[in-house]
Amino acid sequence: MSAETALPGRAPRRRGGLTGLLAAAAPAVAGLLPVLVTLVFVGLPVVLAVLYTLGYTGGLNQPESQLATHQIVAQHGLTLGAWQHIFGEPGFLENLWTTAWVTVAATVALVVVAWAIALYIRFATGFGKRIVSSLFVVPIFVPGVISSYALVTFWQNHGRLAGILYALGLHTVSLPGGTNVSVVLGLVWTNIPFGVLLIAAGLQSVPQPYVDAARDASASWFMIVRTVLFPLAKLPTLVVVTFIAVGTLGTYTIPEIMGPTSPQMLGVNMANAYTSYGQPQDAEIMAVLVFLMAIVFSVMYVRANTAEVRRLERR
Amino acid sequence: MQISSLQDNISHRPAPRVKRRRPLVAAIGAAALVAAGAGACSGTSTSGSSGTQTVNVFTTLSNVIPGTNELPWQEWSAAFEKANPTIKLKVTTGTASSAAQMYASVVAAKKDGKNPPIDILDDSGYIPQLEADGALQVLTQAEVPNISEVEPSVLATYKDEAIPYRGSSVVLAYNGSDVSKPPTTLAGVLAWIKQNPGKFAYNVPSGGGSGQAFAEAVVKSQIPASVAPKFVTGYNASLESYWQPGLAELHSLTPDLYGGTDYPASNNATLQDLANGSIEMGPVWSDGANAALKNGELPKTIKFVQITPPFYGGPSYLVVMKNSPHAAAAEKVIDFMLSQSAQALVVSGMNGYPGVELKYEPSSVQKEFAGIDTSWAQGWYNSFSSDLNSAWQQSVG
Repeated sequence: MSAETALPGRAPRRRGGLTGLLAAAAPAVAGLLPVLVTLVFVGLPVVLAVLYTLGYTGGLNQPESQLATHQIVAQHGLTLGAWQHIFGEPGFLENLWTTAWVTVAATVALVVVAWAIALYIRFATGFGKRIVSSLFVVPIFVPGVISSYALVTFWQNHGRLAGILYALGLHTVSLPGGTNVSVVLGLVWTNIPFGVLLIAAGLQSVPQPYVDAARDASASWFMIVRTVLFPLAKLPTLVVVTFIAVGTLGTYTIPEIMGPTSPQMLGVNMANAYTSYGQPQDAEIMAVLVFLMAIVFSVMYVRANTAEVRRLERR
Repeated sequence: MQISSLQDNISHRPAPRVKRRRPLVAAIGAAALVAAGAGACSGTSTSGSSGTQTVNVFTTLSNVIPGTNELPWQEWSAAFEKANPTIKLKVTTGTASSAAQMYASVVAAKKDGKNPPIDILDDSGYIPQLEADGALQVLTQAEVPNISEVEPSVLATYKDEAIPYRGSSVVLAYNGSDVSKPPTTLAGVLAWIKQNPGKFAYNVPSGGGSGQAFAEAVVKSQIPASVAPKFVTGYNASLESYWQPGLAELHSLTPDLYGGTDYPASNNATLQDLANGSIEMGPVWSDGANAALKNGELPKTIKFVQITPPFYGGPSYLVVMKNSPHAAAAEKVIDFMLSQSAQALVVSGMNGYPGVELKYEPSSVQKEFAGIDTSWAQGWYNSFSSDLNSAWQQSVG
């Protein structure tokens, strides 16, 4: 407190100049901050990566491109050369296809399993319910590296499962270890907690009177699930589908540890292209592709979400 | 600003990265170690008040103790500081990307005429480039007396600027209870694989050096002898057409390998296949395999042999940065690392070959390596190895 402001008859001094300007601009800057942060940390790298795949190796792409081999550089403007090159490689196309089917298979399988467990938790009572609802969260506490390693040593050739089957006299059963089927199984296993938590929460929020009313109208259990529970738990299911699909597209740990040498998912192929083959341009093309596929899922989610919200508002 | 001033220096040659193993443990430990090392990563060298000097040592995660995620420098720096109370070591452990940053800042500091951010580097990946950039200090017996015990030809590789303090190579491991007479040549190994289907494995070349060394050896065996040395000294992608016969040979092995097209992911995976009896033979890193044998992860029946021509291997080097403000102290560290007591720690902790000539080693070390052929082939230039990883994935894996 300065004595100045306490003097009677004098207006308090107004802050002027730079300080005043800053003070006036502060709320606007604060409002813009999230936008700026997003632009700098998300937007800029995306733009740079896309430009790099199109042969732009100047500016901030320079350090990376100088460590690279086999890149296609645009002499003037931009070029699709790198894209054409990578789409001409049979190995890459196989990896792209693998990524697509593993993503779809893992997502569908997870939704089915998560719904089954969520329904059990919703309707079961007693000991079984307690066991299931405490067991399904276990995968959340196991780090991905550890769980994929444990799973693959369990069901690979010469693993525990093979040992048990052998002891039972089954000597020629082929096990999924080291195949992309095992990647799907691993993805489902690790994502069960997320799927079940969301869907079970959706099911719990359906008021019991709805279910009772349907029962009174002599609806079968399947009919209740189909006509009462499913429509009301559609939104959490969509959230699960989107997040699992988007997460699976670029996943690395599980396919790296559990998957075969070839074909690989793009997440693994990307990491190899970057760190082991010295080809960051190829890696970034794969990253852009994963990004584009993720956008497709995200758009589906946003559209379905908006439609759902509108429907609920209309009610 | 720093980056743009670097470009002239690094524009013509792709950076040789660390091409050795990629142990899973290192990947797991990476996050924790980086988090732990973040505070130490400031990169500025500090001098203590009461005459103590701090020497900044930069090492990378590829230098973990084989089979663990522990860093040998904890033990080594404790031993050094005990012997030299006025010098403290500040050891920073980097990942591949922070090593790239370290390299950039060393070159930038040199350009700006500033003191380098680190004094000692323990990472073989960037040494060829730093040497070419003139960023390393020449070390002679005057500064580091124990250099006299190092094999002169190894010192000549980097013009007396890089001091080898330990070594390791890829060797052929086999289960002595199944294989009584292991092959001793590469041709013999290939014949053995075809005679014993499903009993041999090598890891994906991009997954670690031991599988890469095997692939490189097979490809190299089909390259004319006049061309072969060119793959070591520099990079010229047009020479890769010489790889076709070797890659075809590797491809023809696939049906006779354990697991067929499902290759082990890493050196560790090969060791596990050896340990659980899935395979009888495979290429492995000498230090990692020795460690696994000592701590019981491999059964005692597993033996090692080097074939002719040998798989690749090589020393790990220590270098002192030019213009280091703590050069005298850093030289003491290097001298200490070559001393008998430190070499004993290196050999027992890392299970590596010693850096100094065996005749200068304590008798216990001499006994351990007696009769083992510690020779190795020189690995290929890094960009060639990266391209081989990629070519292998396309045409073999």
